Amino acid sequence: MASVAQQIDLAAWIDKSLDYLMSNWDDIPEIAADWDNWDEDDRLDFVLEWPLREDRLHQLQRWQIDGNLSASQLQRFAELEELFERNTPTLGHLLEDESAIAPGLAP
Amino acid sequence: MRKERRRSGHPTDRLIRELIQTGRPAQQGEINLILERMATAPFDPRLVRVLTDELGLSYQNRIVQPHEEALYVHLVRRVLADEQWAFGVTQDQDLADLRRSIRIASARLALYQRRGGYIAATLTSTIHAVSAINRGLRSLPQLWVVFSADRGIIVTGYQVSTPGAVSIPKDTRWLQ
Repeated sequence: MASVAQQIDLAAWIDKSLDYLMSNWDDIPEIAADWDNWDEDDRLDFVLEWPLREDRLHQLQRWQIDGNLSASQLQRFAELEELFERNTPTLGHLLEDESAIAPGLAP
Repeated sequence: MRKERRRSGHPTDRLIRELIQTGRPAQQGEINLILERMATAPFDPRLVRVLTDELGLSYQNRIVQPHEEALYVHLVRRVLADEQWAFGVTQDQDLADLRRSIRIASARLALYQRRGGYIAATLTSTIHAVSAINRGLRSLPQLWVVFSADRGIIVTGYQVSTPGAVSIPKDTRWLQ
C-alpha cells in the first residue's frame, strides 16, 4: 500500500501532468496556424518528440482507471479529453504520415 | 511542396539511407558502423524554435529564449517538464547518457523514414544507460535515441514507459 508521502507525490505529479498536457494540446491550433513558417527540420523534430506527450497521456489514463485522480483532477481530466478530441484532427495533419504509424511494434 | 533535403555525405549516413531505401539485410559489421556513427555524432547544433509554454523557464542560470540551442532545450524538457533526468544534470552528462545507451550491447536498432527523413534509432533499458544519480524522479524504463541520417546528428532522446510507446512506421526495420 502506498505511503501518504507517495500518495501526495503522485497527486502532485498528476497535477503537473494535467498542466503539461493541457498546455501542449492547447498549443496545437497555434502551431498549426504557424506550421507553414516552420522549416522542415523543426517540423520533423516536433513529430519525433510528440510520442512523449502520448505516453504521458496514457500514464494519466492508467492513473484515472486505477482511481488515483481526485474529484478536481477528474474534472480537469475530462477537460483534457475534450481538448484532445477537438485538436486530434489538427494534430493528425501535423504528424502527417500518422496513418502509417504502428504504436506497439517495437520489440 | 516539401523542400528537398540536404543530405549528409558521411559514408555511414549514406549506408543508413541505402539500407532503408533498398530493404536489403544489414551485415553485423554494418550494424556496428551505424551504432558507432550514432554514438559519436554531435547533437543537433542548431538554434531551435521553443514552444510557448517553455519560454521563460530557467535552468542552470539561464532563461529559455524563443530560439535556443537544441541541446539546452532538450535538457530543459527532460529535466523540468518530464523529470526523466535529475535536476542538476548538465548538457554534457545528458549527451553522454544518450551516447552510452547507443553503445550498450543489448540496444535495439531501428531504421525508418519520417516526413521523408531517414532515421536510425536505438531502444535501451534506461537503468543500463543512465546512472541512478542522473535518473529523475519520473524516469521511465526504456530510453529511445533518435539519429538523423540526413543531418548526421542526434535529434532527440527520451525515456518511455514501454517499448510500444515509441511511434514508428509500420515498415520500420529492426536490425538487432
